[in-house]
Amino acid sequence: MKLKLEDFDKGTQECIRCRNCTIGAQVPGVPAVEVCPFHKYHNNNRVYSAQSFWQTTKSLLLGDISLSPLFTDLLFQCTTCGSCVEHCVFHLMQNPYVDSVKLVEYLRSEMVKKGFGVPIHLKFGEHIEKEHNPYMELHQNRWDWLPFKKEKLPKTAEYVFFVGCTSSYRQKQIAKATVNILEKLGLDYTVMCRPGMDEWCCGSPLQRTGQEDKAKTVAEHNLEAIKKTGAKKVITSCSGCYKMISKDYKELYDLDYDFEIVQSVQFLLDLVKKGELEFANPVNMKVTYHDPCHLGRHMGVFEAPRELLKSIPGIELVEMERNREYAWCCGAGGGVRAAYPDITMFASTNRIKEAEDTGADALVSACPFCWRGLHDAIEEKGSKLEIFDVVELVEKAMKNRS
Amino acid sequence: MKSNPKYEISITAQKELTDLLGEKNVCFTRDLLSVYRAKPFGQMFREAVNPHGMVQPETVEDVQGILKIANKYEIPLILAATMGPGACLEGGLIVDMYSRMRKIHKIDPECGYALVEPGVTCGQLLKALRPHGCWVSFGSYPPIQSNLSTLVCCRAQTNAIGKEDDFCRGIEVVLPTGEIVKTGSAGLGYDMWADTHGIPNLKWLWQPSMGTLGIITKAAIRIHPLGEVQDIVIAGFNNFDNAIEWSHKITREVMVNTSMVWSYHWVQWENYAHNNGKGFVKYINDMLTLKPDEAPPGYYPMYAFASISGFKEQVEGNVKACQRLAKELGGEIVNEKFKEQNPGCWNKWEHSFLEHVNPGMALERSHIYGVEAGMEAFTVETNVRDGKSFHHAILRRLYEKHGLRHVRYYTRQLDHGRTSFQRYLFMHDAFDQETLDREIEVEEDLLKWTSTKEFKEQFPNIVPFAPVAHSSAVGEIGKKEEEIPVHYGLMELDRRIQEVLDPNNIMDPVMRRKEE
Repeated sequence: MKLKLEDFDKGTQECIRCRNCTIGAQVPGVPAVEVCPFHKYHNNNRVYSAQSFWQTTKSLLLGDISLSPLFTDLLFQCTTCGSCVEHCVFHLMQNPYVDSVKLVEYLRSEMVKKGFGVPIHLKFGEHIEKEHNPYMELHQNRWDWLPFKKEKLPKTAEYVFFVGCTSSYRQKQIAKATVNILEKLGLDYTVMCRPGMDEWCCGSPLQRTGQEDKAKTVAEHNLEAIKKTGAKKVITSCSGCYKMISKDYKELYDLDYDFEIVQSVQFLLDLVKKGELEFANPVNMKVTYHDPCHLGRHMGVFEAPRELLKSIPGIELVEMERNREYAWCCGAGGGVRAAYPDITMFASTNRIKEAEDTGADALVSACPFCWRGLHDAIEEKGSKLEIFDVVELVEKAMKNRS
Repeated sequence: MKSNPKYEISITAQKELTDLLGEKNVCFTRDLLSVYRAKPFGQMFREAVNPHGMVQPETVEDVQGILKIANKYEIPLILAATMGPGACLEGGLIVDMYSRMRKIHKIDPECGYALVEPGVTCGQLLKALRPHGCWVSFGSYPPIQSNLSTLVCCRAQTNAIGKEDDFCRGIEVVLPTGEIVKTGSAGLGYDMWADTHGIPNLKWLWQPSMGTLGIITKAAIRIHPLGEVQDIVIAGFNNFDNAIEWSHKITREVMVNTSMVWSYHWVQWENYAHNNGKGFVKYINDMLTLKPDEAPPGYYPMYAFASISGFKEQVEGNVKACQRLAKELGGEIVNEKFKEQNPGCWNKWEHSFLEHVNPGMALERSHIYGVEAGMEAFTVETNVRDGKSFHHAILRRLYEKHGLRHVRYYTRQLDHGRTSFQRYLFMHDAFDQETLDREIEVEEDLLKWTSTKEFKEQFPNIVPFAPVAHSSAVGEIGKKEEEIPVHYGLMELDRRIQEVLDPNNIMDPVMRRKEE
């Protein structure tokens, strides 16, 4: 559905600048925690906040201001994590008009239309059009991580692993672990890696940075490619891909499909519950779980990764103060890591400190993009924390299984 | 964006402010400052413009520096606290006191105060007080609201869930010229913050505002022991006069923390607002058939309640006295029935009065109405005797002149019953512009009515809440400053004080110019 500025009018009336979206809702049942990474990065400057998005929109609607490059930092430094939405008084009352993530994505798309996009975002947008990934890599290298020749994989299968760009080009260990698990389970699966049936960027980096037309193009390609595999279930290890395909393809681009899409933690937990996935090796480790925004807040998947971790023998799961819908963002999303790495480092360093405070040995997440942001902060900070994706621990627990 | 070019902040001044506070704590890009444009109410947003700049201090030294620079370049200042500033009518420099000045300097349960900076929130302070066995008064605002901006600067509006109407033992203020002044014993160099008898109590010069004669940087907020036992007495009455009589009598005897009278309409409004909208449809249906000040069968048109805390024996005795008095005035104790009939409203009271937790839900009704609903209110301060006759007169005017049958209202007893605070809200569903405009029209009519000679002769003890000195920049009712009768000697004196304390007129420029 194409949004218009007027669609946000109701929300502008409802935003009362109470600041729950920045420093934490202090209402019963909601933890009073810091909420917004980019607000905190800016020393709690109210200009950089969700309420500022709404009040700016109010002025835009009144015609008192118009979008210009002056708004670049305000609109593109937000990680679109949605923590502000969770803390909003009106959201707590299930008010549908105060979706700040939707608003900021809309305003970004207007900025791009007016030629005020962020250069580095536009650059990776062009590369996605050409090589179908935002990492300036060649498309032909997308499957380099496969532990076997891609021709070994069938063209059609019941399960299709949608790898995503980050796991394909950067956090390859996550892609490998996922394929190894699928192999060991002996499932009828494949990876989309044939010409015409090949996986492109899911479009999430484009959608988050205001390039929705390009995002729709890749979405249409991916759906066609998936349909050709005859997949009944599509598995993603990336939470960004998961949100994009399962929610945004339908809601934003009106695209339809009849396969099921699951994040790897949901898929694996389901197998554990059915008794089809058993663990032989204990993983003796105290871990804490970081909720990826795209999986948690945006899609409501909070318990599956936790249940899966708890099902692994030897794992002790401890929670950080800000968890589930109130989790602190790693700071990498929304195109921020590419354009404003300082903000990402600020947010992820903050998160690492919180993880260290739990006394955990390792920080676990379920998103390769979070992995990257958090890993960089561990290195920068010299932290002793290890970092894993949930699938890596699942693979460890499965090793040596006959 | 129209504004007064006189308020432009020069590049030199911008640089000095940036050097003082750091780049992250200033903003001079005007287009980005819509968030500081006005108070949250839509009407005022339309009248206002974006400010010319924003600074956010962290320390009292920062505030001093800002004031010195503002004086040097004659930059008009607008103070901002929790929910935006007052009306930024022509521009100026926002001083955001909320974002970084968030320290609780001291909690002294024995002396009964907490020394806080302007950004300390109600929720933050309530949480910090709990281990000390204390609580702080709060109003029908969300817990994110600054204690200082509500209790100190809009005092009469925020004692809904409190014990008194003077919330403050003393303040630290930076004068427009940059000097620091402390009031009371702290001003004499003592560590204890208290009013003292030996010197004039100057705190009231600044207290109704955050920044028209200086900027308050600390306030010693009164705190109270939680008490051994908490209780609530709810009494139903068939008429306003008896309900307010009950509330007044028990308050005058200093036996309750808070006592209020809520009309049936107010109860219902709060009820569905605090219960996810449940009860809304029934209420609307009831309204179609009800006469003014009438309630459906099984309900009372007036509910009066009292919150009581203290030692067990004391609470038991006070509850009994409240019950007896209600009976004598023709009322009935309806605690259990009320809970059953009005679960949402009860939920709010339970949180507020028994648990001393700010439920933070006063604004949540907007999920039905939009936040602008009901924000236009008409409020007076009076005494119980005159309050009764005024009550009937205003209801008659609202019905006869504006066709409003079901007005919701409440009253509170301030200063242990010496002042009756009466507030009237006109609309039940003001979420569209047309209704909002009508709401404003009604309010303006009431303001005109109450400022006529005939009204003053008829009601010499009715003081409309709007004309409050110093509230023009940040006060709850900032936009009404033109209503202040400047010819009165008090206001003339006030103007002279302003001239002395703020020679360059940087603190309240819009108001002052009108007087010139």
